[in-house]
Amino acid sequence: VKVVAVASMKGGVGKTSSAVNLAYEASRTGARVLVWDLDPQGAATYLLRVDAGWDGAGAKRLVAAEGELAPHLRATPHPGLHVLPADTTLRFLDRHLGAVEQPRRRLGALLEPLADAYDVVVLDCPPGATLAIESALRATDLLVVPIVPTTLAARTLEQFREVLDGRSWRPEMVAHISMFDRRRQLHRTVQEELLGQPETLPIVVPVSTVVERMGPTRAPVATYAPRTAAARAYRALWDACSDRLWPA
Amino acid sequence: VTSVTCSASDIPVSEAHAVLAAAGVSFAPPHRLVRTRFDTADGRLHAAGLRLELRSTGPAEGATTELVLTDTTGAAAHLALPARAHAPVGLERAVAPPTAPPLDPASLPRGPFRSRLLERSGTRPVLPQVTVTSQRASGVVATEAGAPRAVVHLDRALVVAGVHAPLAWAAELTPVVGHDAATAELRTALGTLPARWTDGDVLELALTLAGVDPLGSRRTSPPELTRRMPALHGFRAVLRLHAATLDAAWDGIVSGTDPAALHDLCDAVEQTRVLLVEGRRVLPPGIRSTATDRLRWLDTALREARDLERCLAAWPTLTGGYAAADRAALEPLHETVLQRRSGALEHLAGELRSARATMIRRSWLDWLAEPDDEVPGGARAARPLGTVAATRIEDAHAQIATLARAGTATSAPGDHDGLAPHAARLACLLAAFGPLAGRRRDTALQDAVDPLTDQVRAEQHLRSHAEVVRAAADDLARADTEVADDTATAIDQLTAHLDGLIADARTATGARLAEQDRTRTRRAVDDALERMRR
Repeated sequence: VKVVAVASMKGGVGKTSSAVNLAYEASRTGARVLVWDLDPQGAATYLLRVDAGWDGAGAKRLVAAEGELAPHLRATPHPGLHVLPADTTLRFLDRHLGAVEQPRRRLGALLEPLADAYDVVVLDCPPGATLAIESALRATDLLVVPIVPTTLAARTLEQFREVLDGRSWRPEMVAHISMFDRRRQLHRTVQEELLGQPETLPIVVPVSTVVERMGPTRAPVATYAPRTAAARAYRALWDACSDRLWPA
Repeated sequence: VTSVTCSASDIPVSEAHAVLAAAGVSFAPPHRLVRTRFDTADGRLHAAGLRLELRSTGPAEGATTELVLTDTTGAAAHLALPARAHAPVGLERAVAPPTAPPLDPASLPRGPFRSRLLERSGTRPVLPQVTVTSQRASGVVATEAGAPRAVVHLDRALVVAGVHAPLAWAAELTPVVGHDAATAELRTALGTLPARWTDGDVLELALTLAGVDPLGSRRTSPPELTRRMPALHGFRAVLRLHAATLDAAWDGIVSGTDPAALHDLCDAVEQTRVLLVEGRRVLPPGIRSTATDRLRWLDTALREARDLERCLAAWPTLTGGYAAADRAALEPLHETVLQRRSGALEHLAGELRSARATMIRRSWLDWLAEPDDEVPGGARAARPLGTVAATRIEDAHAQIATLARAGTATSAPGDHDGLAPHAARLACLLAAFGPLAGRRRDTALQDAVDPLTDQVRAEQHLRSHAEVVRAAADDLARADTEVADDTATAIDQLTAHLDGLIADARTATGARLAEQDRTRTRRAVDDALERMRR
């Protein structure tokens, strides 16, 4: 199984949109995909039309030694795409991880029993650089960082480099431009700078009502607007990820 | 995660519909569905618990087509195929069932779907086993949010392998992850009808109705090997596996009925030859020497037909990037290759019918049929299989690592010239004895070595394609009719294209070879060998 984490230090940059659309595109191209919604807000869970909550299991029981993911998996309306729903107790995930041995290995260990059942696991991470994020990144093959082309958001890449610097388990990192508004001079200028970074893919998800409609329709963009620039961008993003995960 | 199917011949579909609707199922409007199940000739996918189907929904023109790969461990994988006009070369016909042709898994787009399929099918094509058409109404019991809790597909007007099935309807229940109880409720509801239940989906039911054996036309199951068993017994067990394939494929070629038979026979002969070499001091020297000579003759007899067959299989890919006019200009060359293939297969069938070939086949099978304990072996016959296999693998990999070091030191492109035999040897040994290292180490070993052996094989195939094309071009030039200018140009273009591919492949082989001398690879090999020797 290949693990793709969608993460950013900053909130509101389109992480969940990227995670859900990436997962959907992966499932369309023949992968068995699991989205693990690690964000207590549960937006990915909501967008994939699954009820939040782990039947009371909660973050504490999950990270305990006997915790397992399989009983909490849920099907989505999309073939080949399952979700591990979020619940609000995930906001204490850091605290519970801090209480177990080898916390940075814990999320990876939880995924191990599912290795034969899925080809791709997409981790929708909450913002920040917490212990939970480090544990997620420890299990990750490819880190995808959506970046809004503003000065502060653009620092995210550098921050991730610092977090990962010197780690033996450092995952490959790619970034893509998110919520790009070509009418704004700042976006255009920062976009140019970002595209000069080695990790940045030439993929731009525009700020668009099409992406915003994911909320009311509770579906990936390609299901209701497959020919739009946003749908094409997410498709290209998955193709780029796939090339890295399964090189020629 | 397996489906069950409930079917009936004398209960109206409206009754099934009513029962399910009463259980909370909402049905979408019915649509035309065509499903074709695929497997290798020896049922490898079935044996591995995988089901591959080509599924086409909607009217013939503009149908939505996808490949679906299902197993018992999790979600089904769906690979959407583009509309026919935009399908990858070689897949155009595949998206127009029910006349589905054999499908080459290697022609699928790169990714997990292709990897899983290739892992199980090897390099073999997957063949259509049975096709079912039906009018399908899909029903769902959904959560408030709209996610499925239970899914049921109600098929009617079923046609199996071109014949109307004696079924009024069939209801296929597929468990939905996270909602076992909801599926059980539907099963209970359908249980009120006097209908027949079968394990598996409608395609499995269709296999039974059409009398198709899911294990394929040729059955071979891998031998059970242990590290401590005598090496002679282990070698003979693997040789027996290849002999069973050889035996079955032989008749397929002689009768001309099985398109995969030539591939099988070549594969079995190649693997057997490697094992005979590697069985030194394990197999009895007399048998080893005689069989080696005889199989060398057989390998030579097979070579021409094999190379032509491979070239034809690769033809759509080789010419895929060409304009339609160039492809048309190459048609005389293609036709010549086809004629050469027919001639070669006819000649091969004659050779296989000959007294010499019959004797080779019979004596080899007879020797393998003797009880292991009654067969004398070589000096190391009684040694543990794990120890012997590890030594052989270690030696093969050491030869490759030496070539890798030489290549890295000099950076000369010609330094991996002697690589192919060692790569073939290593691939065969790993296929036969890799599982002795345990699943995890075997997988790590394969991950470390397979990219090289696959690449070497791909480069060899390209070289053989180039030879086939040049020989056919010579044939064409010698023929009475004059070769048109555009055909001559297109042939030059194709040979230049092949030379370019070979050069690229050579570079790629060099890169893969260099990886064999890396610490990570050596660690994977050492780890596996240490376990095999334990």
